[in-house]
Amino acid sequence: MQQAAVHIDEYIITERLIAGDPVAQELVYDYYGPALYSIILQVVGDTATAEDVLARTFIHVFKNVVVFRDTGSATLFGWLMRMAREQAVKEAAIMEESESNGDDIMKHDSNLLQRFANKLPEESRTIFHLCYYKGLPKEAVARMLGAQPDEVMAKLKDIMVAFRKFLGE
Amino acid sequence: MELNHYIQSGIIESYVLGIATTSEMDELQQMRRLYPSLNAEVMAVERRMEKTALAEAVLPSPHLKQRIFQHINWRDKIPPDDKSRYTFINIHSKDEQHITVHKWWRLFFIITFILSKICLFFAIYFFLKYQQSRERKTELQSSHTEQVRSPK
Repeated sequence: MQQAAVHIDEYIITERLIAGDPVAQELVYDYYGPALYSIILQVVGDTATAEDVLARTFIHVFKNVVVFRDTGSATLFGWLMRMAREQAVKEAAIMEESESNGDDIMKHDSNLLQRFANKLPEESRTIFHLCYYKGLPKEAVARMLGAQPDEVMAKLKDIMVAFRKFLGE
Repeated sequence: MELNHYIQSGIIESYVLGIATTSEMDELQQMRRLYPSLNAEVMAVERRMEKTALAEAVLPSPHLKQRIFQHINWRDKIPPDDKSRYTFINIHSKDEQHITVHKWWRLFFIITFILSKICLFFAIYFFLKYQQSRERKTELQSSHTEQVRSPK
């Protein structure tokens, strides 16, 4: 993608975002917006809702960008990605309360995380799905699966080790 | 190596994805302070995720950008303490039994009350004086009449 060739100096861009520079805001939106939209879309599964979540994410991010600098996050994208997922999980929980969609755990291989999840054994895939896409705490996942929280923690640790290997491939 | 074992445990990936527990995140932050080389590991994982996410990006609707920036610009244009933009409406019910007057009327009523008391005092005082002088006049007249009659 052409965007990947553009270099963004994160220190300068963060300082400009904190100052409320509209040019910097547009630059960040143009550069990271589509990547974050893809991440959100994987969680909420609906384009209109994903756009609402993306809008909310950027409004929140531009308002609270000082948190990124103060918490010592490693990269701007890492922080944006966590913010986007957090907003998407919240929205997905609200959507689930109003309409009970069937849990489509086996999604298309359209992005990195789905490709990884689809490679996992069924039980591990369910745990990963409930933790990442549903944002549930380990205790809640354990209750849902009729297991002990420690077992879920150990399984999730194995999943993350597998993800580390998958990323390195 | 302890640090290498910690890195291989998948804790960094768990943090990057946002699924680490609060205690895991606190532990990672402490480890990052102890071993600054961990920061490079976190950065490397995030950069790998970024590279893939940029390559797998999906374009949202072109109107979305306008929507977001319209919202941001609208919000930024309103200063938080700008009260001149608000209209205050008195929601007290209209009571026809009471009137509202300027506070200077209170002073006016107090002065009027004091003056009326002074006037009342002088009215009584002069009335008593007048009565006294009339009585004296009547007394003088009667004594004069007696003096005129007595030489006969």
